[in-house]
Amino acid sequence: MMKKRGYMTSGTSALRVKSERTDGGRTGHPAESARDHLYSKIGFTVRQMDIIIASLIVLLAAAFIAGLFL
Amino acid sequence: MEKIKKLDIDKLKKGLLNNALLIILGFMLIVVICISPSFISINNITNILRQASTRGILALGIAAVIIIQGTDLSAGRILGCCAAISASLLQATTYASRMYPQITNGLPLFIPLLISIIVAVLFSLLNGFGVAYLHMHAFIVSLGTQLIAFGSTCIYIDSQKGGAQPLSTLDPRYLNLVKGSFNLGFMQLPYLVVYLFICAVVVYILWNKTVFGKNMYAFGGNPAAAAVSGINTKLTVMLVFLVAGVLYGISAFLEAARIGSVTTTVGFNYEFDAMSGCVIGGVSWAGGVGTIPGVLLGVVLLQTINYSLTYLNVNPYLQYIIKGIIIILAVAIDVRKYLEKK
Repeated sequence: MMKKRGYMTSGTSALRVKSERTDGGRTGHPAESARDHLYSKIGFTVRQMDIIIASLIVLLAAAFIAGLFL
Repeated sequence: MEKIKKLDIDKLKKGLLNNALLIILGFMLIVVICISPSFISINNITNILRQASTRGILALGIAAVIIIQGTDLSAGRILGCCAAISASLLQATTYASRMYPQITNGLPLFIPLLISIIVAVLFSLLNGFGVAYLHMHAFIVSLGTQLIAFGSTCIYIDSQKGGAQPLSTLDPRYLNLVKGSFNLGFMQLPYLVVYLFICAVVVYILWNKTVFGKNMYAFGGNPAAAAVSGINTKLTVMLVFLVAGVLYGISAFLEAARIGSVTTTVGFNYEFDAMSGCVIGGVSWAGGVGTIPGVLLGVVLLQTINYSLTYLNVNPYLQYIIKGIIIILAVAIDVRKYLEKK
């Protein structure tokens, strides 16, 4: 149990270190991920994306229900 | 113990989010079945599979293009053009107003298929050339090709002696080859599903068991790294478009006989259905991610939703809106997956 806790603590601290980096882990190497390049201008956080997705789901549900009853 | 519980909840949350669209579409289907239980009938399932087959073959071609971070807006119109060619060459010889009255004995079926594939490949290679050698965005090149293909189709159909009339009354051999089905006892399995399965197996081998497939995924995931590691990126892009062209040609040949009458409207918006199916099936718009089972599942699921909305007499304009929201939702979920990884 102690070992597990220790492992988790180290994992958490590793995550903390990662989250403290302001450059998002970019190296500036020309072979930087194309996906990073494509999405580099997305200014949304995961939480904000969740809200957008939830809104879209509500919109879809509304359109679907409207389709059924109109 | 609490942390382990939290991990489990996180895993569940992640699983739900990753498959959110499949769950939503599944839920929509359940609602449809609750409203109209007769929707689940062998006849409807056969119809859905038949309709999904040609779109599925088209989607297999488009999926590869999306995997290399491209797109293909011309696929539908290329299909329309090749379908017109196939139908014109395979009209029944007993039909007086056929486009080629000089064909008195029916052509062997493989000749129109071959011509359809060649024409589709030429159009597709035009896209590939623009992307690989001219470094143009696939969106723009394929937009241009779309217009060229549409214009060519209109001129071709208009060039009939009697003017622009639908290319119909097809050769019974052709119709039987496409519209026929195996009798499984409890249901009729359309030949079209078997053709889709064969195409899917061939494309699966190409994607997963060949150097070309590995290069395709490598290029899609990171073009710069792929180039640095010695992959011939231009050849890879051209091959992707070539394979896509072959699939468009096959799909066009089958679609012409499936609908039985070809006009200039055939192929309209087919590419969007195919692309939506790909995105729903997990092909990432950012490139480098996508599987054959995912594409097939996405196409069949989307076709089922389309069919069910028509079955329930939903306003066709609202159907467009629903499909549009589904596509935006699919892309939003894809972006979220990326953000979480980052």
